[in-house]
Amino acid sequence: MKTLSPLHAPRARSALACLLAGAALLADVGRADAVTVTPAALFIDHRTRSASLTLHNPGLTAEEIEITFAFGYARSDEHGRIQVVFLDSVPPYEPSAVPFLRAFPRRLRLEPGQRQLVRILVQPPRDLADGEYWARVMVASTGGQPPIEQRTGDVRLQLEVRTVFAVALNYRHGSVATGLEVEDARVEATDSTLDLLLDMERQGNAAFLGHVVVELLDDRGRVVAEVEQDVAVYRRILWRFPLALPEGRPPAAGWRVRWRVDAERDGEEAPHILRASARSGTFPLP
Amino acid sequence: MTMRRLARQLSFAGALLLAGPGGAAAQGLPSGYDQGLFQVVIPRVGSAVVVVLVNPQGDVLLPLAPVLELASVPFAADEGGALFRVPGPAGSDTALLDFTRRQLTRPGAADLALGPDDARMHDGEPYVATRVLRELLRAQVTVEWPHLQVALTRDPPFPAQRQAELELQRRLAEVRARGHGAELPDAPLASRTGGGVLSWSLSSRHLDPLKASNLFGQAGVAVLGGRATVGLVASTSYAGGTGLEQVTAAYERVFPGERWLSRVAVGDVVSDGVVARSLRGVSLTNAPFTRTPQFDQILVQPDLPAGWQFEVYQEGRLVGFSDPAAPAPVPVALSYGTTPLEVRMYGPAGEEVVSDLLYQIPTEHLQDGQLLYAAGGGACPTARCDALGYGALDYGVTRWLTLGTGGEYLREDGEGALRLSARGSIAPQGHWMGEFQALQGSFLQGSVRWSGSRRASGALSAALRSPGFGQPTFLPGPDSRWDVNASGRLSPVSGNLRVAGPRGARPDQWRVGLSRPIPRGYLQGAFEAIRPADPALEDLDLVSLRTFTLLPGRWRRQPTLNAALRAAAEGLHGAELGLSMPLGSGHASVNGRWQTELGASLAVSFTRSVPWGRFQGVASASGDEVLRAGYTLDGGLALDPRSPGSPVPAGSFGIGFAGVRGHVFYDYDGDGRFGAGDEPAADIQVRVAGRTGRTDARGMYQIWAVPPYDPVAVSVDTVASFLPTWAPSTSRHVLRPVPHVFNDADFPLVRTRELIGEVVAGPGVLTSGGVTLELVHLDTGERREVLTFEDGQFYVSRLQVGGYELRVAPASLRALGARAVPGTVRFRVEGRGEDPFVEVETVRLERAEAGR
Repeated sequence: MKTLSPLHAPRARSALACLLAGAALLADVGRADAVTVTPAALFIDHRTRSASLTLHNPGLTAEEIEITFAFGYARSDEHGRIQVVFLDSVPPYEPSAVPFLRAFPRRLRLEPGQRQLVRILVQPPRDLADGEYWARVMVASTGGQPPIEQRTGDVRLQLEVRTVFAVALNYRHGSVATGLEVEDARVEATDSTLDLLLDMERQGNAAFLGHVVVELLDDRGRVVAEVEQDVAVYRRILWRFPLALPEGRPPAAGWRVRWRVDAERDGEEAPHILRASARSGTFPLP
Repeated sequence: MTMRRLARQLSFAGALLLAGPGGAAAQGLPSGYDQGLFQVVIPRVGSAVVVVLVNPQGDVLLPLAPVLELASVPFAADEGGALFRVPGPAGSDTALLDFTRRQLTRPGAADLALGPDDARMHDGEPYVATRVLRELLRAQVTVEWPHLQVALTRDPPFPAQRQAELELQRRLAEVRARGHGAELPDAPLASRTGGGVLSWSLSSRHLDPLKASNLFGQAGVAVLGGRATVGLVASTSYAGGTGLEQVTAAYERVFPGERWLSRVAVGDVVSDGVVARSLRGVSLTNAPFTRTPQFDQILVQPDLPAGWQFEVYQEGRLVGFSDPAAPAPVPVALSYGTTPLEVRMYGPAGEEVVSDLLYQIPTEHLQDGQLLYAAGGGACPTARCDALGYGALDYGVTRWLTLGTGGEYLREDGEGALRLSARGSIAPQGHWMGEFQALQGSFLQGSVRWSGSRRASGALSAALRSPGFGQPTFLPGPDSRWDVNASGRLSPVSGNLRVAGPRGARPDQWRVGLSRPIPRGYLQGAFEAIRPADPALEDLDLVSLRTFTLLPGRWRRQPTLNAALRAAAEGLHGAELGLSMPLGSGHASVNGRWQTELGASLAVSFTRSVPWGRFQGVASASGDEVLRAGYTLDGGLALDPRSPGSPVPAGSFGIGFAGVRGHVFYDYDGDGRFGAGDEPAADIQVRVAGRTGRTDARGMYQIWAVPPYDPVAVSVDTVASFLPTWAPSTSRHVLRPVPHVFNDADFPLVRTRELIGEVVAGPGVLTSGGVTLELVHLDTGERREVLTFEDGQFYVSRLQVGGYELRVAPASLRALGARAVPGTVRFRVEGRGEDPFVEVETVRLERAEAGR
């Protein structure tokens, strides 16, 4: 079982950056010239049944790419630390799309500067129940060897580096809906931050993909600290939002924390976000 | 020992190990020095593995010659290789690296003394430390110990980087040319008969369609590959009277590629002489039906020293480049109108010189030696004449001069008159072009244009015209009028001057105007003076100021605001304010106007596209007048007799245009025809002549408004439209559309499969990764090369149905000293079956000697 930091967590504009950062955890060794993968998330429905990824090799050497699929989603521990847990063996109650995904091509070689489209095809079983099914497209790249005709002697300086990008894939079959309930909201204070912890539970049969805004208001209602983050709630999750306290201004009486969760995203994911009611709340600091 | 130093030592130890027996064991190293292998990397160029020295301070010394060669920096070595002359970036002054005097001399910079560990000769090769290399090449030199790499970057780039950029741009230009600019292959024009298309227009200046209305209708069919059209015009008067004003009928046939007769038209046609006139008769010509935007080719070859190369750009797009190995003229296509060219010349040390060229081709210009004629005759359909005959001949005398002559014979009230015509155009290489036209007793006009540069241009035209020819004027008179126009642009300001008057008399009309862009729009000012000879008309002097501005809004939804003020000698003469904006699937505008003599008025207009055509409405009101309103309804329908009940809206592109239809289908039986054993492919995007359509549930698409007669490409979206396990047997059809009918283009989709397999290296064979395989489609002979992955596996995507042979490339076998078992793998990709993969037997590589 491997773990990965949350893929849906950051703001949309930094989603790819987060993906790269997350991928670095998976990679045996990070490389600046590795393959780029777009988009950061795939949404497929039962009508289209296919989507495509664009791979680009901006580096100086050829890359060998292998496309596989894995099942995993963001989960949290009791402290609100979030990880993406990949399961080698998927329990039957989990909505895994892995068994009915195929990649074309599933192995390829990308020359320097080359782009390649990889089509992802969904072949669901006929009796598949309505709902959203999840997977991660794992794009693993290694520095490809030059043709043996071009090699000289036995000298090898190639570092055996393997970089893996994990692209979220949501397959929506039939009627899908989502929603969110915030079961609990509380604040934990440290020396320099106030952390809001939201205990969120997804409703419906699809993941809740949305956006959270948390604000710290002073006694005159002015925003003195703010954090915004994209969130993905696949089942139930405890999410920690750290608010950086303004320097030299410790929280005082009358200060409040205000939060709002809505099903909205910016960027290329926006058209695929399922509608759901927003949730919000405000409470005074203890 | 610091951690950094420790890291260097550990990495370097790795490098020494990788270097093998030739590295650490090398003899004759200076005391305290190490030796190893590093990779020198230049972005966009590549890398080279070099043997480096590491001095006692832990600094890397690089061999000079291989680094300069990798960067393609030209250099000269003198005095037995102890003195190096290296030109600076972009061919600037040369630096001297003197190993004897241990000094680096650069123009404009202080000399750099070389310490004992900065530069060394070792095994007859000069080595320099990275700080010396940095100063010598004026480049960034970065040593990456973890990766055992040295990276070199520079701005301006190294000649090798510039060369790599050029090659990338050229490859992109070639791809673009293949995708867009490439000429389509020829296709025959079918002699089809059938189809059908309707066009209509109903316009009225009254709300009641039975009053002050005009009805225009046309119907067309295809006949033997040509277009036949009948039409009628009917009108009603304000009083309510109705009349059939005109009935027309015409047939036109185009003969693509024919030298002496390219188009015949009979019936109600328009003449092709110096003046276009309606006639009921026949017209013939050998002029192309549509003139391509491309005029001719020229050869560009600047005078360059050896080693230089050049590129030719048009509007920032690379259109041609010289071959560095064998310099030759670059053919560049010239278009009608203005063709600005930029020639960039590159020297071997990265020098770059840019020169501008400009070609101007008048629209009537012909290629050198091209002869075009037009002739015809018949009855005049209007009351202006009884009969008309005409002929015209144009010849491209040289590439820069075209001359034409002709004449027309008109018979009116029993008397005939012959009027000769002449025209010509001149387009010498450079910034000038000129044109003239003359028709005996009617007009004489000419123009000269000058396009000095992107910032400045100008034009001058003059004309002498009889009444009834050229621009209409409100200044009446029986005499001919002369007219001189001058315009110029000195960026960002444009100006124009017009002076006109009666023949043989002083001018009676002047206008001078200036305009310049402003943020999100432009501003225009003008002065106009009119001095009519007719005493019934008053003199007028007007100063006007007009502005046009795009208001904030989303792209294609931006409202526009226009405002104008006019002032005469007595004071303000008029004002105007208008707002125009897209509205739904239409467009709306509101315009308010005030003028001293007429008072205030307000006009509202609205245009909306509807499935059957287009509706335009206008309503206006002024202070002392009742509301006035009018409207126009127009549209068209294309009929497809093979798909009755589903005419295709043609909008304003009905008569004269063509359509393309067909099926996209999963060709299960592999016969290429849509039949009982096949399945329709729905929702597939098809593209033709810039228009797109999608297949319906029957797999059928219909696209109208395609220009007829000239070759067009019909293509399907091969990326997003259908499942990845299918591919069109051809992604493109080229056809010459017959007008007034839907032309056929079917796209059978064929099953594709993915090939997987493995090459295994036997004992004594170095590797099975990076081995080249040859794959041959036995039915088509198509040959592909595939490289094995690092683990020896291979994967080939989208193999079409058929028999194949796979073998290891002989060059790979030679390089490995191996033979393949089996030597050839034969397999077949079947059309039936759901499994997307074809797996073939493993190929084993054995030592060649072992098999003998």
